[in-house]
Order: sequence, then structure tokens, then C-alpha cells
Amino acid sequence: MSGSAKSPAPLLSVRNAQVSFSTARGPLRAVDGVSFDLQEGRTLGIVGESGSGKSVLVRSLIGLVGAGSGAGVGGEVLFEGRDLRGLSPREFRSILGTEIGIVFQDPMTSLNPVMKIGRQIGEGLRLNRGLDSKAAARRAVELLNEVGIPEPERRAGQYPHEMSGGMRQRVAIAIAIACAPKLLIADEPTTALDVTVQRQILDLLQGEQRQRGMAMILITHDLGVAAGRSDDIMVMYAGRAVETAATREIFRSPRMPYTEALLRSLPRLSDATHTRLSAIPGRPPDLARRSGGCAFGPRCLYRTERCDAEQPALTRVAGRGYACFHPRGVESGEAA
Amino acid sequence: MPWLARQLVRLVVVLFCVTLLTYMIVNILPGDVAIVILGNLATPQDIAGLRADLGLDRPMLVRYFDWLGSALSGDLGRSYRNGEPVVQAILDRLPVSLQLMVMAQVIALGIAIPVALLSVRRPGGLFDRISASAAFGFLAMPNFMLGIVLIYLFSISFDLLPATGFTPMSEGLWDNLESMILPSLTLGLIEWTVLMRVLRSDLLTTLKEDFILLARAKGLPPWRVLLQHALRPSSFTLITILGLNIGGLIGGAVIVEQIFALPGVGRLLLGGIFNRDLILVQGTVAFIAVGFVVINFLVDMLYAVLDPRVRHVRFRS
Amino acid sequence: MSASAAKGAVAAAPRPRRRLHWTLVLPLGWLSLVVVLAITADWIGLPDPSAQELILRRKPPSLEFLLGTDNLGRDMLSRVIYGARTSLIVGICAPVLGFLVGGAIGMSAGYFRGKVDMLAVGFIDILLAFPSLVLALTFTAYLGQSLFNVTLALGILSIPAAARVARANTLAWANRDFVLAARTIGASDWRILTREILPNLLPPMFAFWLVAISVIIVAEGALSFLGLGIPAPQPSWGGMIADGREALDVAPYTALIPAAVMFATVLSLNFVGDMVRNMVDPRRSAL
Repeated sequence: MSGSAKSPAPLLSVRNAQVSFSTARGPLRAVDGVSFDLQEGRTLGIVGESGSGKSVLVRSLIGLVGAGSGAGVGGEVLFEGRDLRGLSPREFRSILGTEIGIVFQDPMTSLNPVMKIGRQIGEGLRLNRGLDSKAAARRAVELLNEVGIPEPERRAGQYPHEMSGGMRQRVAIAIAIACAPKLLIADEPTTALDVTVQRQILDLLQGEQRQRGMAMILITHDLGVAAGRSDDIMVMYAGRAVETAATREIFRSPRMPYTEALLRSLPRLSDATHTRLSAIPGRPPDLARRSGGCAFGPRCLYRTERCDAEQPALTRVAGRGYACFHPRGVESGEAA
Repeated sequence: MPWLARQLVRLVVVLFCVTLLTYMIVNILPGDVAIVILGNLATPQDIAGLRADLGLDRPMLVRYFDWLGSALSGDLGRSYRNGEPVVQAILDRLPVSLQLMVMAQVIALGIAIPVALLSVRRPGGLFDRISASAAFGFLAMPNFMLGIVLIYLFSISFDLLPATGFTPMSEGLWDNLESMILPSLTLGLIEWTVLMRVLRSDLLTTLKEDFILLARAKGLPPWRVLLQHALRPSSFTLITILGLNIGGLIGGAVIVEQIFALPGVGRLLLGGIFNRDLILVQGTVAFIAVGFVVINFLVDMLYAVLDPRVRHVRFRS
Repeated sequence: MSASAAKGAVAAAPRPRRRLHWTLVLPLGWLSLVVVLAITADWIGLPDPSAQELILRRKPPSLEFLLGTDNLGRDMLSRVIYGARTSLIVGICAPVLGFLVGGAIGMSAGYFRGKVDMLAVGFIDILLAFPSLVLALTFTAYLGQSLFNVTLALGILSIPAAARVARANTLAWANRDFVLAARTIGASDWRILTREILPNLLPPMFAFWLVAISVIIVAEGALSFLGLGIPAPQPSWGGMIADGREALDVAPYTALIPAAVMFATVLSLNFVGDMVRNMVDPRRSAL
């Protein structure tokens, strides 16, 4: 959360987002009451393991939670002050197309395999910004150039499978920024790519963001990726936000034992050789079977009886938030 | 060997075997031919003499190659019954059969595609369930049964359409269509079920893909997502099935031409069989089989053209 | 269900076991009726299906003739039942030939691969290169029309389909570890094929057989309709429909009744077959 109290109205404001799926074993709460704000031009990194609900959260925000899967969606999503959930489908689609851009994880599957690249980029322009096909095609080539693809005219006439993974992701970014959105959402944009390419893509994303003044949500399971690229970080676990803070502060003094454990598990070049990788013992909880206490409890080093009995709410103190009865680095007097 | 060349070689081998098999089946009882021509009262000497004349005492393989040689130069022999060249008889009737099959496929697609698209808008919904049941019901209908029912309904009960007979297009487009509607419906009303199911299944699979999600994320309206993004990748199996179904369509055409008295190749074949017109049957079956193999081959090629992924993978190897 | 069938069901996506749906009652009931009547036809006092009484031709259904009489005054009820017998015999036996021969071919192809596979696939392709009805017509026309020949011809026609099912399933099973294990203890190919692979082939082959029955019944109907199937005067549904066609304007029931009976039977068979397929191999069922 940004520290300044007199900040302008946030671009995106999420209140108590909920997503639950009905399964054979009962309702599964993939997202359980998440709230956050995002200012224009700032980057929020959402960090969590697989199954933490980070992808589902973001997809539910933009109305893309799987159709017909019996998903129940709740909460408020205010974009520039308007509640997205209250809009008619057409109005919603119009905002989605022009103000929000999304980059998915695997560009091999997120690009239409039988449609030419240029057309995929230009589609949004034609539909949402009213360009005719010639203008859209020209703009598509410009965008390909902007995202760093050599020989853009030739590439525009190609199909996704004719390009490397890194190039495909650049195309995906071009599609996302085509209509000059105010918010860019990147869902694990580098997970499916080679390590050598990951940094280029992240640089590209950051560059585009700065240049166009977009707000960005960067979803990742890799704390290291979130480290250099986001202003604020929200850590999710088992469908809830368990810690939120400015990036610097999270790294300097994490409050949630989970965050602390995540940081500890990051291998560093400065470690001595043969240093054991420290992993977090145990596995993420089964979201269909919720016990009453803290979801991280079974894996936490500092767990007490209270942790098993009650679920800690997200406490907000001094621009930070944490959901823990025994936050790290805090005098016991300040504990929730 | 490049992929295309390999496919062509395979094609030739299959064609060869198919024509050989045809020849063998039809000529299993060579004695019959002579008896048919000369009648039951012929003496054994007459029969032997005719057989020698017709070259029927030579080994079958020799006769086959003889026949094949003529066939490749466009001569399939002359019918016993009326001496008409077989090739001519077939070519005269081919347009009718082709028109029937094309109209049937058009009807089938015209029903299958919209129904599949509408079903997929709300899977499991009312329309989906009704169309699935309808498909199941129509699929269970034998085509000759449907033909009879359609005649009963449209010709006899309501006197809307002619029950039999064919009017060529030269005598009026409308009359021609009138005579072709019931036959095409008979075939098309059964064909659509398979096409619809396949397309629906493919669409459902495709709709789960990430690129559909991205298309929606671009703010595209649902119909546009369906038509522009989901339909094309889902149509590959449809095209394959269309190709595979042509065999059934040909068989169906034989029945339908008989029911509605359409002068097509199927009816020619049946006539030949009933008249024990060996040469006609031989030529017609060979023609049909060869045509079928070639069409399937073309469908395979079409598949490669339409799916750029297949094209690139295959041609690179 | 046998252990291997259960194994097959578990190997597929987990699906809640369906109880016998009420919708199964109707088709199963109809099928049972047809089968029972066909078997007991000789003993329930039916009039001779070939007895012509030209005075009584084309009578509508009445108390005396429950389903009316046909063009030649023969009792329709009796003909329909005896026709059922014909259809069932052909429908049940032809696929048996198909999957005995086709199954053997498919299993060999899937197990031995290499040249055997190539030959088998080539053979299947050649048979499939003919539009099936045309091939069947040619067979019966030149081998002669009789119950046996029709069954034989349609049996040969079902070989490719059976071979394909057998081959696909053998391919899936032959690479499993338990086959490898059997080989390492020195089991012969024959033993592996019969003891390990064959039992796992039975459920899909059974499902195939059920579907094939209805396809063959329709095919036999088509052949008889065209006059190239079961020779007159032996009753057959297809032949009856063809006979009735001439009288469509004056006595439509002579064609429509056997048509309805055939449709009901095929529909029921498809339904039941699909339910079975659902239990054995859910991916391929249509419902």
C-alpha cells in the first residue's frame, strides 16, 4: 500500500474479492476475501505458491473465471471508480478491451495458433479503437517493432509456432498494450520461458509500463522476480492476502512467517557453496477442506494453539498489512 | 522421401489393390457370364466357345491387367444389355449423383454448424440437451426408412413435393431442385448428427484453451470469439469426418437414388447388378471405389493446407 | 463387471457410477420383447409369415391381424416377428466374425508392430477404401443371396472396424509394465497375448459389438430393401419396407410399421450400447 495519506483515488480498487467453485467435495474457496488498491503508474506484485489463488483472483477481476464451472464470484471491483461487476456485458467488454491489457503465462497456448500474428494484434484495435484494417495492420507492425521484434513486417504475417518462446511473449505483450490500456496485468509472464529470456521480457514489461504510465499487476511465484520489478507486494496464501507492503519493506523486514520463509528459501549467489536449500516443510492446504485456524499454521515454525483455533485477520498498520498472531520483527505489544 | 511423394505412392498402391479386388469379386463366377448371355438352354459347347471368344479362359490376373490397361485409357468396356460404353453411362449419370451428394452435405453442414455453435453457447443448457437428443434420434434412422417417411409426409400426405423422378437443370432450376430436395434431405438429415457432435466436442475443447481467454480479455463479444477464434481450430476434425463420411454418402446415394428413381451412378450400379451385367458392374464399382479413394486423399491434403502447423511440421521433414 | 473392466473404468477419468437410469428401462424393455418374440416365434402360434391371402391384402390393423396385412395378404405381425429373427441373427453373428478375424488382425498389428502392422493397416485401408454398401452389394450379388452369405458379407465388412479397435487397444496395453514383466519371466508371445492383453481388450470389444449389432441390422435392412439381401419370401424388415413402398398412398402402414419397429430397435440398441460404452470407455460415448 502506498504510504501517503493524500494519494489520489486509486485506479483499481478491490474489496473483499471472493471466488468459490462448487466441487464434488463441497465448495472450494479459491479466493477468500482479498482487498487491495492500485494507483496509476504503480506496480503491484502478487506473490504466492501455485494454488494460492493469485491467478484465479486476477482472472475473476476481469470476468474471465471459467464459464459454466459453477464459480461463485463476490466482492467489489472498482476501476476508475466504476464497479466492474455492475456493468452490462457490453460496457464491461468495452472497458476490458480498451483500458486493461493482459499477458498470460504460456504464449504458445495464449496465442491463437491458426491466426496470423499481425491480425491478432490488430483485432483489438479494429474492434475497440475503430481502426480500419489497413491502419490496424500498420499499427501492429509498429507495435511489433516497439516490443523489440526484428523484421516486424515479415513477422506480422507469420503464425505463433514459427517463433521462439521469447518472441511469442513479446507478441503477447504487443497485443496487451495495443489499445494503450491504463492497467497491464501480467500473469506469470516469464514462468514458461528460458531463464536467459526472462529478464528481457521483464525489462520490456517494465519499459513499456514506464513509457506509457500504466499501472501493472505482476503475478509470480518467484519472489526474486517481484523484488526488482514491483513497488508494492501482496503475498497470498490459500486464497487470502497474508501480507502486503512496499517491496523494500517486505524484503527488509517481513512480518508473516510465510514471507520470511519464502525469503529464506531464495538461494543467493553470496551463499557459501553447498549451502542447503531451505524449503518450507509441508504442502499447501487443500482448499476444499478448511480448518478453522490459520491456513499456514501446519507449516509454520512459530505456531501456537491460537493459530490453530482462530484465523488471523489482515491487520493494517502503518501502510503495511499482515495476517498473523505472531508477526516477525514486531514487539509483542503490537501483535494483532 | 518427401512427405507428398510418399502419400502419392501410397495412393497408387491402394488404387491398384482396390481395382484388383473389385475385379476379383465380380469375376468370381466366370461361368455365369456366358450363361447369362446365351441363356439357360445353351449347350456346353456354345458356352465354351463364347468363353474362349471373350477370353474368359485366360487366368484372372491376365484378364485383370487387360482390363486395367483399357480402363486407364478410358475404356471400361461395353454393357451387355445395351452395348453402351460403360464410361459414357457413368459420365452421363455422374452429375446427378454429385448434385445429390453435394446438396446433402450442404444441408448437413447448414444444420450442423449453427446447431453446434448454439449448443456451445450454453453447454448443458436446454438447447444443448434437445439438440443432442435430436441428433441421437436422427442418427438411429436408417436412410431408407427416412426416405419412405419423407415421401409419405411430403408427397402423399401434403402433396408438396414429387416422390420420384428427376428433372435435369436444363429444364428449369426450380423443378430440378424440387426433385432433389427430398433425396438430399434424406441423406442430410442423418449426416448432420455426426458433424454436429464432432464440431460441438471440438468447440468445447477449443474453448478451454488459453487463447480463447485472451480473445475474451481483448473485450471481444462472445459471438466473435466463437466464430473468429474457436471455429477454425475446431473445424479440423469436422473436415476429416466430412471426408470419412463420403463413403457412407455414396452408399446412401445408391439407396436414395433407388427410392426416388434418380438417374444416378448408384442406380446404374443396381441396374447392372440386377441384370447380371458383369462389365457394367465391374466398371461402375471400380469407378466408385477409385473416386472414393481419391476424394479421401484430397481431404487429407486439404487438412494439411488448412492447418498451418501440420503443413510446417510435415514439409520440414 | 469383471476386474479388468473395472480397471478400465478406473483408468479413465473418475466418473460417478451411474445407477440404472429410468430411461434405460424403455429401450431394454423393447429389446427384450423383440428378442423374446424372435426366439419363441415358432411356439406362440403365429400364422405362417409366407401364407398369402390375396383377398385379405392391405388390411389395416384389426383384432384379427394385429398389425394388418401386407401387399400379398400376409400377416404383418408374424412377418415383423420373423423379420426380427432374421435381423437379430445377422446382427449378432456378423460382428462376431468381424471381431474374431478383425480382432486377431488388430491384436497382431498392435503387438508385433513393424511389418505385421504395416500389412494389417494396409489391409484395413484397402477394405475401407470401398464405400461399404457398394462392397456388400457386390458380395451378395456375386456370391448369391442367402442368410449365410449376407451374414458373411456384413461380417467381412465389420473386420476393419474391429481390427482398428483391437489394434488401438492393444497398442495402449502392450506397452504397459505388466506385459514387460511377463516377457522378462520368459512368457511366450502367445501366452502374453491371450493371458495379459486379450482380457483387457474384451470390454472395448464388447462395446464395439453392441454398436456393431445396430449398424449391421441397418445394413442388412438396406441390402434387403434393395432386394440384394435376404431373399424373398423370408421376411426381413428391409424387404418389408420395400414392399410397402408401392402401397404408400393406399396403405402406408405396410411400410411404416416395419419402419417404426426397425427404428425403435436400432434406437434402443444405440441407447443401450452407449450406456455400456459410458461405463467402459467414457471418452467415446455420445450421450
